[in-house]
Amino acid sequence: MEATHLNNSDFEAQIIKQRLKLYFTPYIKARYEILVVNDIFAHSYNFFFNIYRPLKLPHSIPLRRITFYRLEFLENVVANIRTEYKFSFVFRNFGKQRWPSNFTLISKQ
Amino acid sequence: MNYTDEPHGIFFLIDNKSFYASVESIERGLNPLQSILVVMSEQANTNGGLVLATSPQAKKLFGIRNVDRWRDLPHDQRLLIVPPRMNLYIRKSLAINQIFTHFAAENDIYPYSIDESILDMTHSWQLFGQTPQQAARCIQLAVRQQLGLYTTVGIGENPLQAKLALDLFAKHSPELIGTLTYQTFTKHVWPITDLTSVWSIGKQTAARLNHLGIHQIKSLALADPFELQKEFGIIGTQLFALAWGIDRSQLQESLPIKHHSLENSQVLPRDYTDQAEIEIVIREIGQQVASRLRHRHLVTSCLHLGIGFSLTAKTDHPGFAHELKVSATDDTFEINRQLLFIFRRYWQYEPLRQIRIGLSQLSPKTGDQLSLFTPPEKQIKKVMFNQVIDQIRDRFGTSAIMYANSLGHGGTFRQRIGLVGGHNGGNSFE
Repeated sequence: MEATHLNNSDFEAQIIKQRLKLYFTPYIKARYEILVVNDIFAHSYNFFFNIYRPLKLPHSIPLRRITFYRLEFLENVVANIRTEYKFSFVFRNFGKQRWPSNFTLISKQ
Repeated sequence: MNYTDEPHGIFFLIDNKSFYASVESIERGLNPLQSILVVMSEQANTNGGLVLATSPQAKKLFGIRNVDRWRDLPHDQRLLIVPPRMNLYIRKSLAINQIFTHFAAENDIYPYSIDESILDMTHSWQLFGQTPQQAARCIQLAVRQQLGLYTTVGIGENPLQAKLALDLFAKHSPELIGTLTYQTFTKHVWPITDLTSVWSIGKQTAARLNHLGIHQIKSLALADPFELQKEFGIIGTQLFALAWGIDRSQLQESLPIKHHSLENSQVLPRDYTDQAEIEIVIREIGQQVASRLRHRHLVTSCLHLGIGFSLTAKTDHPGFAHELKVSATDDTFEINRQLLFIFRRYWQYEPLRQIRIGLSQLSPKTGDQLSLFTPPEKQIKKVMFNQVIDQIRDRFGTSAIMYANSLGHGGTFRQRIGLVGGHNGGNSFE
């Protein structure tokens, strides 16, 4: 398959990390998480940055839509982000799907 | 009432339930009817935040309405705040209308707004069910299965009935479908006493109707149409027809527009009191609207400047609006020069919150008319200058080049790049 920016996991991870850098401001007692949604309608993986601060309403900021709809690809993107950011990841709508590399459940909820 | 000669068709008016909020819910893997979410624009001119859309659950639990402000929101950790992405909503709207083409001919689909479309199903509903309601259910399921969104359908024998069925009944029905016909119209619509709940009757119109002793749709239907016409003009006869469920509009006939015009307006992020700052924004909007004019290969002969005062202005007027006839032009400099002339003439140092600029009396551009009073080289240079700016922006984007005065205090050009309809386009999130 020809490599384009859409199937280059490093490129996608880079964009997400740039945006995390832009939107992340450390606050006292704040909780941050990266939400990854399996969008079954658009066949994409949607990334959001959720911010929970005391006495503030939770915010959910869109980070990126990954349109290369393959779990191996998603796994590479997530692994790349995890090398730099230690935020909790929340995976939604993945059902009983497992990571291709180690067959662990993607979402344990 | 004998309705025999009135048009009898089957029209669906389909609305997406809490459209922006539903799209954002789907994007986050949530059920649009169960998520507790508001889409909030946090642009500088919204005073901390403006609610653009509320999910049905957020409406139910907290009574949040669209256009509420940040200060009106409850401090409840279940409520999720998300930024708007106008370009995404436009794409979804197009996708929904594409689904409708499976149920009606393309020429029978009339987008009414970003989240509402009128479908003339007269010739096709029988392909999808025994009743129009079954056909409506088919459409609802198709949209739900393909995009995850819930739709509400008003069914009527004409577009007006479909719209009233949608607004008054479908939104409150468990199936999200409402129906009105000539036979059921009087039974269901005449008892309504909250006149403003009926499409096309606003607060002002309702107050004027009340003044005439009309407090119910039935009273409107039984009023003297000549009296209504005397009071409201042509709108009076339309109100009378509305009360009887009559709509003779032919949707397939496009309405000729008598007077084309172009307009741009801006709500300012704070009170503007400094003349230099205000003039920067007038110039910026003038450039924007002049550029739109040139892209359409038109020239204008009439400029309009509308100014809205701040609530803190010590005046009885909400603002002023004036027009000025000019020689046909599409030149940014000339348009801005005349706009500033109007502004300086009528502004009495009131603090401002809104600026509106319109160009009317438009005609096709056939060439540039040189003036006898300015050297031709200078005039040609101006024309070329405008063309170069337009070409650079077409090729590299609006932000590629800007006038230096936009960098001055009060300029809003940089903040507004990327906005769609005054709200975040969301391109930077894609």
